[in-house]
Amino acid sequence: MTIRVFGDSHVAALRTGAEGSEFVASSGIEIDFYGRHGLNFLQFEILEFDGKIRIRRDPLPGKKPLDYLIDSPDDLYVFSSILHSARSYSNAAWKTFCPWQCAAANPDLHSVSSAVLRTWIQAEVQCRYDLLIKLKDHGYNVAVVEPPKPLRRVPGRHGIRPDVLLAVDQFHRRLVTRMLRDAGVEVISVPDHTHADGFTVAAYESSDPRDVHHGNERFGVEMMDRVVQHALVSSPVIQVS
Amino acid sequence: MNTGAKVASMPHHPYQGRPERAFWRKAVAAGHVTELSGLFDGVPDLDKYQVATGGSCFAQHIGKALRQRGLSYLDYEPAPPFLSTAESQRHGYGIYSCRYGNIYTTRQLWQLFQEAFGKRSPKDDVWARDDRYFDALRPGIEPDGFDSAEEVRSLRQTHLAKVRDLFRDLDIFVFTLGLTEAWVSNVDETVYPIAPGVIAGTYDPGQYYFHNFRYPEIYEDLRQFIEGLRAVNPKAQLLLTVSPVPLAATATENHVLVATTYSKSVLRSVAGDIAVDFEGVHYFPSYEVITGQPSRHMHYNPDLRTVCQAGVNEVMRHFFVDSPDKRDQHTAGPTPSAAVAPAPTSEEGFEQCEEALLDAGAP
Repeated sequence: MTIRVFGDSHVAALRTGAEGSEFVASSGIEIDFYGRHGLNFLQFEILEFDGKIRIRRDPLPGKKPLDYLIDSPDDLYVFSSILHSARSYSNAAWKTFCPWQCAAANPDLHSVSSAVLRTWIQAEVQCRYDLLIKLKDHGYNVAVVEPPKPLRRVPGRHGIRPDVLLAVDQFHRRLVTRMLRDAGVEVISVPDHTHADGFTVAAYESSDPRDVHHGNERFGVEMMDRVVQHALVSSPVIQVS
Repeated sequence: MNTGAKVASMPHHPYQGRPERAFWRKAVAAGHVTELSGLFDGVPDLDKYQVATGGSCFAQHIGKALRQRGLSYLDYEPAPPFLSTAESQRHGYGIYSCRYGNIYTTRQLWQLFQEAFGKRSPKDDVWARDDRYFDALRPGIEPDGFDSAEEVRSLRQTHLAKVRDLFRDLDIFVFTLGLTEAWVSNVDETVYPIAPGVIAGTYDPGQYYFHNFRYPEIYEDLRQFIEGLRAVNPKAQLLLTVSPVPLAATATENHVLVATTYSKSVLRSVAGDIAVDFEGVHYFPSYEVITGQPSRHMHYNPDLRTVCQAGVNEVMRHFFVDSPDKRDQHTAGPTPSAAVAPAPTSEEGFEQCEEALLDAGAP
C-alpha cells in the first residue's frame, strides 16, 4: 500500500514533515504527495472511467493546474482541503457580521444563524464532498487530514475579531467533520497539544510571518505520524516496498 | 331656429368645477387602464427620505421597487455577502427593512413595536418542529429552523435592537395592511403571523384562539403605533396601503371570497380614516389599482390571488407619481413619473408568503 496525500497547500508541510519523521521513515510505507493551490479545489471536474477517478480543472492564472488520477484501490488516499477553514473565517464579511453565539460580546455586528453559516459552508465544500463520496462509492480507501488551527497572527492580519474568527473556524470544522463521519470518511485530526485557546501554538506555526495559515515542519511531522498510524490501523495488510 | 336666444344659466351645485378625476365617466370609464392617473398625489420629497417597509406579502414588491428606484431604502439587517441572492431571500433577507418577516395585522405591528422598545415580552415565542426551533413571531425567516431555542431568542434580541434603530431613524414607513384574521395566544394575547402548526408549533385550541379584528381595534392599533413611533421619532411619516391579495384561507364560517371582502373593506376604511385623522399619514391606493374596475382583474395571475409583475409595475407607476404642482412643471419628454420597470426574471412576482401555505390544507 502507498499513502497518497493530495490536496491543497498544506500538503507541502506534510511532505516536509514526512521527510523529517523518524516514525514515518521506520514504517517503510511509501508516501506520495500531490499539492496544488487551494483555489483549485473549490470547483473542479470529477471524471469517472474504468473505475478510476480523475479530478481536474482549467488552469488558474499563475497556478499549477490540477490534474490528478485516483486509480489504486489498494492505496490510502489522504485528502487535504475540505477541512481548510481559512476561506470561511477570513471572509471579509466577519468584519461586520458574527455567528450568533458571539452576538452578546459584539453588539455592533450583525449576527447570523447557524443555518446561514451551514448553507454557505456546505455550498463551499460541496464539490470536494462529492469527490469523497464518489471515492467511497468506488471502494477507495480515503481519509481527510485536518489543517492546523488558525494562527494567532491571523485576526490582526484580517481585521477580524478573534472570538468571531474562532467561532467560524470551529463551526466549519465541526460541520464538515460531522458530514464526513456520517459519510464514513475518517478524519485525521490535529493533535491537541498543537493548539491552545483555539489557535495553533507558536511552536507549530509557519516561521514565515507572511504566512497566515500553514503549519511548520514540526506540525507536518505530527500530522504525518498520525497519517501513518491511521494507515497501519485501517489497512491490516500493508505491503512495504 | 333661434340662434340668438340666451342659454338659461345652470343652477350652481358643488360638483361644478371639480377636477376631472372626481368623475367616473371621464376618469375611469372613458380611458384605457394604462391611462388611469391621478389616483395618488405622491409623497412630497420622497426622494429625500429614508424609507422603510413592512407589512403583508404584497409589501415585498413595494420594497423591491423602492430599491430599484434608487431611493434611500433602509435595510438594517442586510444579508451576509457570502450568501447567494437566492439563499439570502430564502433566509428572509432583503425582503423588508428588517428581518421581521410578514406583518399581516396591525396588532402584530403594534406588538412588534412594543416588544422592540421593551414594553412586552411574548411568553410563547419559540415553536418546534421535529428537532428544529422557529421564532413564533417570524416563523418564515429561517426556513429550516434554528438549532436551539437559545439561538432563536438570541437572534430575536439582536433583531429587535435593529427594529428599534429602524423606527428611530426612518423618515417614512410604508406599511401594507394585509389581514384582519389572526391567531392569538390565550396566555398573553400575542398575535402570530400564521396559525400554529402550519410551519411549526402545535395547534392546541386551549392555547390559541382565532380572532377577526374589527374596525375599532385596527384603528386603535394604528393610532397607538403612530403615537408610539412619533414618541421615539417625531418626524416619522406613515404611508399606508392595503394589499390586494385575497385571503389564502379563512378561519371564519364564511366563504373565503366573502371573508376577503370583509377584511379588505375594513382595512381600507381604517387606512383611509387614519390618513385623514393624522398629520403625516398618507394613503396609497395599490388596492384600487389592482382590484378596481379598469383593471378587469388583468393584474392577477391565473390563481386570481397573486399579483403578476405587470400588476406590480402598474402599482408602482402610480406610486412614483409627481405631486400635482410638480406635474405642471414638466416639459415634453420622458415623464419623470415613469416607474423604473425591472427586468423580468424567473423570480419576478415571487413572494415569501406564509399565508399561502394555508392553502396546502385545502381539499
